[in-house]
Amino acid sequence: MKGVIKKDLLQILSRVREILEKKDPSDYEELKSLSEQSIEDVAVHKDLDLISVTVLVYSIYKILPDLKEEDYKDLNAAFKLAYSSLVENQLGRYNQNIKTLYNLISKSNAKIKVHLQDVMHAARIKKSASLLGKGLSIGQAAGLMGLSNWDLQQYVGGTTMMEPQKESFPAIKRLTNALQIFGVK
Amino acid sequence: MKGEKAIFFDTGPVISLVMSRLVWVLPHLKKQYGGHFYITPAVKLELIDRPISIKRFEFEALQVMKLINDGTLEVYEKVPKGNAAQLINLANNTFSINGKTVDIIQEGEIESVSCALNVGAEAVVMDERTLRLFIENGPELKSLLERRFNSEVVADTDKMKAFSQALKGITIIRSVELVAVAFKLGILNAYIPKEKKGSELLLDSVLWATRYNGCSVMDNEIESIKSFLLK
Repeated sequence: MKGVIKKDLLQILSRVREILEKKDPSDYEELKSLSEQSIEDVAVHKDLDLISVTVLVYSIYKILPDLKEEDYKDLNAAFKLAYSSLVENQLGRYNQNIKTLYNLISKSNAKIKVHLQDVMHAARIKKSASLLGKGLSIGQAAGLMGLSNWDLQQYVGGTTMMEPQKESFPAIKRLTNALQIFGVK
Repeated sequence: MKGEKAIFFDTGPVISLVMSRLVWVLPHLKKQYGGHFYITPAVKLELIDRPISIKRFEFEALQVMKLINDGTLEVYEKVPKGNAAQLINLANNTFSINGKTVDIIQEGEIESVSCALNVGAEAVVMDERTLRLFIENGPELKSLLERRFNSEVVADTDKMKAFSQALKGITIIRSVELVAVAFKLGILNAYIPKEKKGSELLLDSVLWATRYNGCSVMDNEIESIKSFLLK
């Protein structure tokens, strides 16, 4: 793992750990912005560890309001372990801890379990859309999150994300080019 | 073969047309065009091979497969790999953030333009904003990245110019223009409602359908297209 990635991951995990530890619902919204900030690092580094944690943090943000007390404690403990494993450079253990965190989310309660695939899928789409919003191409943004272009295009079609800010090529010129190509007078 | 009468399709416009339930216009447009409608293997992968294994998009994949089976779309196999690699290398080494280059374009996305250049195709149909912006106005793409990233974006202007130069002369149209052409040709006439300004309503509906299904087009562009076609 590259030093710069480790530094980014430690920052994210440390903050998530603090938020979970403090257990103040008013902080939960910060999980969303945290995953939003880390998406820039995903765009630059295309690193799987970063992608995994970014999706994880966003998924936790989505399920936190429904989490049982017991599951909350397990999640908090697993985050602490992941953080300390990374600090100690125990990467094998760290990967196992992240896997545990994903498993914990899926096992947390029946309600979440039913929707977990949706939550994870939605999280990947949301993060992918953020990459698109940053200026990455649709293929690049979808590919980084392991999605198909169909998934992303279907989602962003209903938003303004695909809309260019400015077009340097006049619309009528493009249209007349098209009409000309098809031999339409 | 240079100067072949052909149009290359990127993934996006086909997705937009399928999602807009307008993909049936393609055989009519091809007949009118009288040349080849090509997709590259990478585009086929994204349009058929991947979605066929995703339950949500299975039928969409079959709709595209039908277009290949009936000869509307042809898979162009002779991808100039060296040229495509050179272009992707330029594209993904142009912009950097914190000293690290950012891969903004996916390799498969460059295949269509690379093939179009190779055969001297008349146009590339592309709904994708990023690559289109890069080809038509590199500095504007830099501005977009600068606005959207919190960190400083550095552009290698030589590479930016080299990329634009390599793709100079490529004509880009979008799914929204294909639909506009279909409207102009009367292909959509069966949908004109029997009411005052029925044609205008139809045109408005199909242009917005492509916009809401992923075609990167601005609201004012839709208005311009409408004004032009209805005048």
